[in-house]
Amino acid sequence: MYFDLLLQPEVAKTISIIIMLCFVGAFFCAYKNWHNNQSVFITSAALVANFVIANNALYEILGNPSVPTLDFYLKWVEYNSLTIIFIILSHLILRVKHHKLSVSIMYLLLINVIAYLSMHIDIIINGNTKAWWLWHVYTPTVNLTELIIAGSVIIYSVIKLAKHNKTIME
Amino acid sequence: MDFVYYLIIFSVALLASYKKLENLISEYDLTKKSDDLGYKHSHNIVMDLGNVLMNKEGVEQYNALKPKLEQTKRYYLNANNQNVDRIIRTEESQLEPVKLKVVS
Repeated sequence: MYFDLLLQPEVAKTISIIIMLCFVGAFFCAYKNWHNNQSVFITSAALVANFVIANNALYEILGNPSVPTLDFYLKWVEYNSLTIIFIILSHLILRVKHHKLSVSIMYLLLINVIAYLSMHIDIIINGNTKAWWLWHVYTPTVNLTELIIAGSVIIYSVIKLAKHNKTIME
Repeated sequence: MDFVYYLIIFSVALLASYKKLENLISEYDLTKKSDDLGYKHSHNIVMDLGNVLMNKEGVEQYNALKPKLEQTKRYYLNANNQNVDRIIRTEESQLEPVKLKVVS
């Protein structure tokens, strides 16, 4: 992954692990809130699977980082597109209505897909080696989008749980 | 590589049309249940008619019966021309129960 703002690979690795842990946390929060909102739970389950597989998280944690290959960005495109398809199809099959949060998460994933695809076209297909504004926009866009997705699931689940507990107490 | 592009196109198409697909599936589910719902609705109409005939008399009975017969006519017309399920979803007020009169 090209990290324009973060020159050290160690920092990039740490950030990717933090993002992945955020997704795991979001999944557990959504699991706690499963009865209140199944749509968000399905979405978070798909997201955590996506990021653990796509990020090669186990290799990263075990200290055996994978070497970026030519299809690095395409893999991310593939996994993110598959996540969107999986989320929609699982909602349709399980007859669960799409929650607003799930829909906005899918749109955010689409932004990531566009970012990865544009980087693939620029670096791999066009063979560009000089940094330009797309590269500078890419890093914060992708990381912020992922953090926003995980953060929104956590915040939503915590608020819903708090409301649920309040109504039980009353 | 083409596979990835097909995936992108498919995911965007799904994202654009998920609402329509959701509505299509819910309509399909409802039509599957429409027979049961239709029977319930006709049962309610007959019960209401019976209730009015049993518990009201004279002008009071006539006044109460008139809207019920109108409702029966609407049910007949709708059920004869289109799916019974639609009557229930569009005319929910018809399902309001009739208040029972205490007979001494």
